[in-house]
Amino acid sequence: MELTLLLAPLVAALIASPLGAPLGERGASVSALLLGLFAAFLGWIFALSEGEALPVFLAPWIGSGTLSAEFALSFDGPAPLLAALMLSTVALAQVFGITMSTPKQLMKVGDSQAMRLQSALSFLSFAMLLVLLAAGTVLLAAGIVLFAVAVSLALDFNLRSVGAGRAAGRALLVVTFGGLLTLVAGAMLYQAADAEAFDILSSLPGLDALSAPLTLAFGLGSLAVMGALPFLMWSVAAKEAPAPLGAVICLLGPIAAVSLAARATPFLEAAPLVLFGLLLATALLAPLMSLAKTGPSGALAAAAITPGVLALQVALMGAIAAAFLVLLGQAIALLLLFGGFMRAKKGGIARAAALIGTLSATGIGVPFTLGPIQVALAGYGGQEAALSRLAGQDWLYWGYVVALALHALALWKLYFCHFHRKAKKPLNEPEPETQVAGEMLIARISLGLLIAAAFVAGALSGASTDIMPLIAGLVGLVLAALHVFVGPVGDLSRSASAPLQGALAGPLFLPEAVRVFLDTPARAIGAFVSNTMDRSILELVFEPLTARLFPALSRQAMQAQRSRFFPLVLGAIVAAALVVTIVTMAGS
Amino acid sequence: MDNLLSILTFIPLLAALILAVFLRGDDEAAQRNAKWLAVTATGATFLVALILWSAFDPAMDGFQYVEERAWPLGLTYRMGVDGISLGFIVTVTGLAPLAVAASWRIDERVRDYVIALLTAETFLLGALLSLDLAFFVVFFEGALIPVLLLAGLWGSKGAGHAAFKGFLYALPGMVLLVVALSALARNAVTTDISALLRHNFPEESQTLILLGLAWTIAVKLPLCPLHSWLPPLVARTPAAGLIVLTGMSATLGLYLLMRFALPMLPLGVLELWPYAVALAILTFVATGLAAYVQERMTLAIGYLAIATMMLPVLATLSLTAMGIDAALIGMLARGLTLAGLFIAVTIIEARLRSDAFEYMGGIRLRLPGFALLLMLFCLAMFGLPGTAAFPALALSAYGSYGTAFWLTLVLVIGAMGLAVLGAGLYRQIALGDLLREDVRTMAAMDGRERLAMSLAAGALVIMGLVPGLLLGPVGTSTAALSETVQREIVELSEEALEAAAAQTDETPSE
Repeated sequence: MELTLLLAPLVAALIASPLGAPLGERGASVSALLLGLFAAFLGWIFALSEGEALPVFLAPWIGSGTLSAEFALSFDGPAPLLAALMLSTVALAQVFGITMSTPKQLMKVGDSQAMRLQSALSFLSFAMLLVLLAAGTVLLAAGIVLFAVAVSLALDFNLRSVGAGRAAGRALLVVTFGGLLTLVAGAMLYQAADAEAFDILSSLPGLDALSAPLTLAFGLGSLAVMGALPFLMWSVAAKEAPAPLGAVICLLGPIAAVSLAARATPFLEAAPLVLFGLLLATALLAPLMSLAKTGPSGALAAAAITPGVLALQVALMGAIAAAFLVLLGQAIALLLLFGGFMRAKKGGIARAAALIGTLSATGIGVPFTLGPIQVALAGYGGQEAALSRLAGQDWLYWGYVVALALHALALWKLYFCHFHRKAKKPLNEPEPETQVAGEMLIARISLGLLIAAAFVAGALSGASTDIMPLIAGLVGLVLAALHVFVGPVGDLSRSASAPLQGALAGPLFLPEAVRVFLDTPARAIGAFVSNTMDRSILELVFEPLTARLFPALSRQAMQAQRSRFFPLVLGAIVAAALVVTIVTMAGS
Repeated sequence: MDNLLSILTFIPLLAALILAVFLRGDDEAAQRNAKWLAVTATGATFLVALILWSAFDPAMDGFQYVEERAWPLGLTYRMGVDGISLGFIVTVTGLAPLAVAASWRIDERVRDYVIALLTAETFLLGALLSLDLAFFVVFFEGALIPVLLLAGLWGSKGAGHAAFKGFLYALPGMVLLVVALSALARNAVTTDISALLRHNFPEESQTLILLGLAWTIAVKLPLCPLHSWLPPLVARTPAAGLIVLTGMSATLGLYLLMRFALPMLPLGVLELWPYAVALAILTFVATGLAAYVQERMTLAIGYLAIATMMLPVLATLSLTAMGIDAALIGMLARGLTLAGLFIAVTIIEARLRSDAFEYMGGIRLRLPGFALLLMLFCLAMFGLPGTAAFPALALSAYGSYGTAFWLTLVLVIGAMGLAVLGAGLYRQIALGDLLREDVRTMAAMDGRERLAMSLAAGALVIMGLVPGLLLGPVGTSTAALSETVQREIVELSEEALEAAAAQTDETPSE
């Protein structure tokens, strides 16, 4: 069954690729969707059953000396729950994918967009399963690198968009960097403990001496995988993908990072302050970047970063359950937000989805009980649990409270600008879509179910003890209302002070700066090697030398192109050398 | 089977002789016959290699399927295979059919072309399987001629000149190689390679002998600054010649390192280790950057071929069994990747009549299947999981950490650099909009092209998912090889400790 769980998304991705063309576009898309739903169902079976204590061996893989890296899946700890959450989110996005059509100007004749969308989502799912369930360091690193490829393919969905191509390249490189760091951390662990399986490594004593380098490798790896500072450039690029893919990408990065942190927790330093500082800075910066965006997809992609960062923060502190709750709320909120904001028609269900999504994401729930049920929305419980975990460290606690308030401000501004005609600063409209009646019905039902899921997840989140997320969300709501309806409206990037402008532009400018910084010398050295060094050695050293030593040969060889003489020249010299060799060897 | 290795070695040569004797003319039928005979011969050779591979006893250390016959002049014809040579044989025999497939568009002097290709395969296999120094040298040096002929005679304008330059680079190495191997033979009083492997060579002469081998190793791999013969040749050579030149022939440099340098001259290797590692890193950086600035696909891949060779070299220089395993599977992955990329060059050149990047862009929109395979090859250069390159990368990282942490970092950063270059290569060829009319109207891949690329991709993926197919048989030999070097390292360390202790004893106490 484990193998079925792993392979279902891969088979779905293949069916929806050009290999599934015989099924037809609709047939391949629906088959991929059904397999996605089946995988999500299996995921919940694993999540709700008692987890296997030992890794499940699937097949041997890389064996050399004492290293034996296997295809083995681990269903311990939070892995099955995270997998179920991820598979469900992807399956819902696949449902949306069936119902959403791509803007006409991005389409190409003969390009099956629906199939590609299903294929990209399924491949993301497969890569994420490897990341979440890998039982050893080698498979985990492989999963992360595959995730990099999957994200890159998903971001590059709009084949003709230059921005999409660039974003895809950055995502590929940054997330691959995270995978390679994991490989380095795995090498450290293997040399210290002669093992690569997490269940063996986590039970071994004496790895404390490695905690500093391991924290650096795993920590930087998780920052790269989720797209936190200093790797912020790829996570905000999720806007380049169409709505369902964008929502999934925004969520999967943090899930992968939390999973990586959960795997690495036994080997990490207790409180890596530098990592914490980078995470907090990301959480504060992301909503400001969102405020500066003029398009809804870009604003959403940037705003979605803060809760993910919060989840990783508490995961690094060992609070995996709180991280899971944050991600659960985030999953529902993101699907609602992308589903609500990306629809061209602003009435009815789209507005409700956007409203419930914004309420969930900004932690505004109503923390009271109605009989046995606590009435709150999905995001509230997670944010409350996460902040409770941070309560011992004031600077982190208040830092994240401010970040959540800014996050709420960004999302409410988006909501008001998008849905209120009185807003002074309307956002750029999303591209018009073409939908048939049946597809619209499925989209509406999906959004309705998601709204219900927001309430159910909120009710399941447990009793609250801290109302700070609610306060932060309300502060954001009020500030956004003032900003949009009363105060000076405009791009934050234009109205902000110079340092803030720098801070906003910095992370996005960073890759360009690095590229420019490295590109010029790299090109200069490359040109020197290929144009100057290689030619000089040939023309200044070898040719004169040859001309002097073997003038006849050299001259003839230069004239001998395509002539019978050329093989004779070579053959004669080599034959002479061989005769000398044989005589010498025979003498030996 | 007693003569399995001879059969394996001489099947291509036999086919070449049949062509030379029986095939006349250069008309279409003759060309077709020559090509199909090449397919049959290289396919049959690969099948024999597969039989050898499956029948190879992985638990046995030392040579298997040994053949020995006395020859005149006191020479002995000896052939044998161990885990190390098996890794190389799989690479060479696996790439040969792909080289033939990539040659299908050659339409000039096809018979001679095929003869050169088949002869090159025999010489390469002979060098890898010879257990006698004299025969090894004959095959090793002999392989140079058909390889350079493939490049020089069937390349574009200036190819002959470029091939001659390559020959000039190799010439000093040929002399030095003979001198170095003669020194080995004289010292051990035998030309039997299996006996040489058991012989302890004097400590004081190991470095000197190794320096004799160094030129050839540096030219074959090639290492900077002796790499500069290859790019001009690559720019003018047809794709099949490039597969032979960069995928098959370059492996001989690594083979020299693994067969002679490491096991016979471990002290020399340790003495020269820092310089070798520094040169490999320098070569990687220099050629990687040179690839970055190229405006032609063939040249970019040519420079990348050099850069990608450095990862197996560095993995070998980690001197651990895991590192050597990584080098063997990495070499196979690299060969298949380059074969796929060079076949892609032929497909593009046949349609656009140019390999300049400026004429490409947007190919993905026109040929999505081709673009998908191209992406696989471009990403396999750095170690895409699911391809044979990933086990190579993982084993390099895990193996090198035991030797030096910084070496692991170098390998990982190198892989990252290759990811940048691979992604950049793919971007320039396949991404962007369909702006040019000739790209817009590009013909789809025909069945033969699709088959050739799919075979390379399939092999790359199979070896990535089941790397044990190769790592299993080679494990015992690589462990033994690594043990030889590690023993020397331990002895050197103990000697250093004893010397330090003696110095401490001699120091008068205050």
